[in-house]
Amino acid sequence: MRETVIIEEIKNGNKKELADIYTAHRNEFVSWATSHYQCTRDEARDVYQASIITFYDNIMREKLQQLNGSIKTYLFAIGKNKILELRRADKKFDLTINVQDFDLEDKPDTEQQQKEKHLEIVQQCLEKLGEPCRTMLELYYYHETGLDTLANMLHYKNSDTVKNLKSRCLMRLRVMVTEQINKH
Amino acid sequence: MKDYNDDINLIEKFLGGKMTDEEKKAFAEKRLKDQELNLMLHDMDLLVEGIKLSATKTSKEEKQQRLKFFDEIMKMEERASEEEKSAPRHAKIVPIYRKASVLAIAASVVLVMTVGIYSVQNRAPLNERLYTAYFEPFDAPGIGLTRGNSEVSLKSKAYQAYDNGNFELATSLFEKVVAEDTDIASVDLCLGNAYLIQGKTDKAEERFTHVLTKHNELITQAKWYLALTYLKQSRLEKAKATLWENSKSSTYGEKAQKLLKELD
Repeated sequence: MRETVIIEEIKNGNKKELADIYTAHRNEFVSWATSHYQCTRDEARDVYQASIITFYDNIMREKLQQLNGSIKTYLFAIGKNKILELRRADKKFDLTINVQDFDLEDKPDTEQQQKEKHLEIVQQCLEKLGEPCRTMLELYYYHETGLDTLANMLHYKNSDTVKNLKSRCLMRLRVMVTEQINKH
Repeated sequence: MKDYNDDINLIEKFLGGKMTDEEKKAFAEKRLKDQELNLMLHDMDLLVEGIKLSATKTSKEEKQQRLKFFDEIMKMEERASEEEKSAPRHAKIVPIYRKASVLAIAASVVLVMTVGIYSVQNRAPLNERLYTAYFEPFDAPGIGLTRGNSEVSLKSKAYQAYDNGNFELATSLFEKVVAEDTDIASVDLCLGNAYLIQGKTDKAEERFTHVLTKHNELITQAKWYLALTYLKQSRLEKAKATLWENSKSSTYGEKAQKLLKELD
C-alpha cells in the first residue's frame, strides 16, 4: 500500500516525503482545528507541528510500520489527542497528586520507593507528551536555558511565546502524571 | 480560567532558591490563602525532578538531533506559510449564482407565481456548475494502439471506444478487461471516468478508490477524479478534503487550489 511505502521512505531518511506530507495536510488541519476545536491559528499550527513530530518519532521508533487508513487520518488523530490534552490542561485543575508522597524527610523506604515510581511515571509521561514540549522542558529545567535562547533555538517568535508554551506543556504533563498516579 | 503562568513563575523562583527573604515571606502568606498554589508547588516539585532525571538520560547527540529536526520542521512550516500567502486568489464563480438568486426574488415580486419559481429551479446547483466547469475526461495513455494478443486487443478496443467518446461501449469493454483480472491503473482510471460521465458515481468512486489503494501510479489523477465524483455527489466536505490532498501536486495542484477557493 502507498502509505507503507511512504513510511518506509521516511524511515530511510527521505525528508522530502515528510515535507510533502507536512505541506499537503497543514492548511486543512489548521482549518479543521480552528473550526472544530476553537483553537487559534497559532495553536493549531503548533499542534500540527507537534503531530508531525510524533508521526516522525513513531516511524523512527518503529511504533508505526504500516497503516490501515491514510496518513492524513493518522495525523489528524494524533492532532485531536493533542488538542484534547491541551484542553484538559486548560481546565481548572481539580486533580491532585498525593502530596504526602513527596515530603521526603525521614520517610520510610516504602514511600521513597513510591516516589521513585512516581518519578518513573513523570518520565514516561514526558515521553508521551512528545515534542517540542519534552525538549523545551528539559532545556529549561535541566540545562537552565533562558527563554530568549529557547525562543531562538526552537524558532518561536519571542520569549513570551516560549514562556506560555512552556507553562502549557507543564500543565499537560501535570494532568497526564496525575491521571497515571491516581490509576495506580 | 486561571492563568498558571504567575504561579509557575513564583514556584520556579521558590524551588530554585532565588527568592529574597521578603519574597519568601510573601510567598508563604500567599500559600496560606491559596490551596491551589500549594498543590501546584508540590506537583511541580515532582515534575521538575522527573524532567531533570529524564534530561540526564538524553544523550548530547539525541538532543542535537532533536534540535536539528526542529530546524527542518520550521523550514517546512515557513515554506507552507509562504505558499499559503502567495496562493493566487481566484474570483469565485458564486457571484453570478448569488446575484441571480437576488434577481429571482425581484422577478418573483414582479411576476408572482409565474416566471420567478421557474428561474430559481432552472439554475443548476453550485456543485453541478463547478463539476461541469472542471471535469475533462482523463486522457488515457496508449489509446488506439493495436497490439498482438487478444487481451491487449480488448483493452485497445476499450481505449479506442473511450477515445471516441463512446463511453457505454468503453465501459462494457473495460469491465471485461477488469474481469480478466488485469489490474492496470489506467484501465481503472478510464473506467472510473466512463462511469462518472454516465452519472454512475458510486461505481466511479469505487474505481478511483481502487487506484488509490491498489496502485502506486496515477495517484494524483485518481484523487482529482475522486474529488470531482464527490463534487457531483454533493459530498462537498469529502471533495474538499480530497482536493486538499492534491493541492500541492504539480499536475493538478493549481486546479485543485482554484476549485477549493470556489467551494469556500
